[in-house]
Amino acid sequence: MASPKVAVVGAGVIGLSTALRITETCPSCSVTVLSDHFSPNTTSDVAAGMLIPHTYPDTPIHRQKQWFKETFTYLFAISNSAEASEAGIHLVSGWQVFKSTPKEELPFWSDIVLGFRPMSKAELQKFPQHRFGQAFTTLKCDCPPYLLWLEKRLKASGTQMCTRKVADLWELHGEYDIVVNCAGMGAQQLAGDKQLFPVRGQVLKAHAPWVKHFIRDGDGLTYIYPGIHRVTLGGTREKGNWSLSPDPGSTRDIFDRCCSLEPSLHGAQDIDVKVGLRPSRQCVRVQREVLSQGEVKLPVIHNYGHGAGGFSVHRGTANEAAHLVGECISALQGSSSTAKL
Amino acid sequence: MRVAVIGAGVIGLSSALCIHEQFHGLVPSLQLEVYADHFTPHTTSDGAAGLWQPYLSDHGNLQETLWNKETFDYLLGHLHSPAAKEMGLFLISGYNLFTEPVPDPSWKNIVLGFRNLTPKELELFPGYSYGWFNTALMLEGRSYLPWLTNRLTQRGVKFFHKKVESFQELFSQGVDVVLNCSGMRAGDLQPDPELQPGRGQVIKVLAPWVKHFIITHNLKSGIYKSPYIIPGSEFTVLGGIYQQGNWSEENSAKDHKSIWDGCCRLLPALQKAKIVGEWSGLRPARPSVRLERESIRLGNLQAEVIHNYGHGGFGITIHWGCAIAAARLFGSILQEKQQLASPPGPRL
Repeated sequence: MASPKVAVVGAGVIGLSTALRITETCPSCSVTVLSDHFSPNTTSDVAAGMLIPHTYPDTPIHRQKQWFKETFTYLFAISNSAEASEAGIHLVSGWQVFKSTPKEELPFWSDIVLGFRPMSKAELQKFPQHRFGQAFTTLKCDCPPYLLWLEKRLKASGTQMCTRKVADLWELHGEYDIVVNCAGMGAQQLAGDKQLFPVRGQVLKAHAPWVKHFIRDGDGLTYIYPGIHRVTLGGTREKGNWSLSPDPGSTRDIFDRCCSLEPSLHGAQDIDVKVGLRPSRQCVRVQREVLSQGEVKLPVIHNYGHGAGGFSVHRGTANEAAHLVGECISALQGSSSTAKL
Repeated sequence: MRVAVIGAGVIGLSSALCIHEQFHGLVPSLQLEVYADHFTPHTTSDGAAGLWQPYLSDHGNLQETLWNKETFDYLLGHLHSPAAKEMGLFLISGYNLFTEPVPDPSWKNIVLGFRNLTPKELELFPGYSYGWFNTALMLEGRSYLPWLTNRLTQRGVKFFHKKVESFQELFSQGVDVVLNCSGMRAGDLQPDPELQPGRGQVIKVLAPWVKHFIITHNLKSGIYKSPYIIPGSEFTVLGGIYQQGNWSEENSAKDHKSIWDGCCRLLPALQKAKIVGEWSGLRPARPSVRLERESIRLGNLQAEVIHNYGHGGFGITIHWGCAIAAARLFGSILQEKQQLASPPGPRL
């Protein structure tokens, strides 16, 4: 197979980063990204893009750590380069604070982020309702810039981007040799995956350029993440809620919770409300599947279900998915050249 | 009791506020006036980035370290007040970088979370092998000076836009005490060979992705002669110029290039940053801050001057501690003039 045709379904951070990785590991592939939405209308555009991992209950910790490490290393290099501002990647320092001391004092990622240490008593005085805290420096991927930067690099490598709603993965079997399913929440329909469920998140994006640190409550529900132009204030975690309409009660509640962590936010301006559905799963599905009808086969690589942790592990799962694509190609090339596709 | 403050930079305005806060209740006849040829946004304080950070070494000047601490603690106490945004006050963290190990600074326990940089963090800064990380404060002059001005105006303090030519000029008008906060131009009022300009130049850019201050140090060259990057609330300040004895307030193309090259080497992404301004200013440098009383005989009158100038590149860093000290000196003047039964209590 001279030039395997790969379709990547989904143009959020997972789809674009996976497509990019495929162009890097398989330069002979012809890659097309298919999605009903592109930036700024993806779930990834709503997220703050902070590199603070979400723990997946059913994925082995060493694998999550590997994904995070690969992602952090990759983005660290970009943040240090001349492309940092265009790519929307920047370092940010701050604090994770807890009202009661967490069971796990050292999260699995503490040695990957920079300068991780417990907060001093003096630092904790800024958070009178919290007893314990961790200070560290991590990275943030601002969207849309990061997604647009990925798109730009994809186009430069010859990748096609098509706005198209894929109703069924099988519909791609004639046009493409391999399909990579990075459809996020859309995988529920495309893959018939009942283990995938939305966790609705509402956030505010505000103009508060004097806020230079992130602040996150250890419960994960309240957070302040300063981006390039706006600060993301969050949030909500509503399991099973599919509504994409902003809820005014939640807006008020998020604002109040964030102001109690950072009182200067009372002066925030131009507040926008956004909603996204975290495509959640007990474990991220990075897995090969072969769809078939009769003699016809369609290899599918799944890469979805990242929930609240997409940005934190995106490069790591893209690496794995691209590796699986490589294996697929070898398998296809290994079989008779009179393709049974 | 007429008190004239000469100078409307951070030192003049904060000293005026501190004195008014301490004494207006105790001295009903207290009348405060501020005289300056430049007001915000045209003072030296307006050009400074506004980062609270003393020099690396206090050279044994413990008094200045204490004033720095008083200032930091005072500002930290205001961080959560509704006034913080209006004051231009916010927390900021960042890096101090060196090419060799150095002793910890006098202010390591004043700032928050002071620690050494890890090897991985040092990878961000090729050429630097040692450094510190800490959380400090920004106090932007462009906001703080108007805020001080508003507080003073509310308190009935009067402002006069004029260049005072001599202390005599004010005393002959009936002023009782002069607070000399004239910064760089103190020499015009009374010769002081120890006061010299430490010329600085800065480039203002839009680089909102930069969330940390980055200050490099070249121990051989001296303070502020090595690139630094300080992100403010609206723009980021790039600097690294300190020229002792240079009185020019014109921007120099050579200095521009030096700043730009140095800072872009530190943060390559700055090459894409949009330049929105450039400014030169004179740090009123002195081996130590002149903060003391001077009695001047004018005919049969004893006139009192409180000097409070010579804060170099750390005026914002030290201002409130000095204001309190100046107020204390004012208190002793009042005592001597029997305007006060006894000095005010622990408030000071």
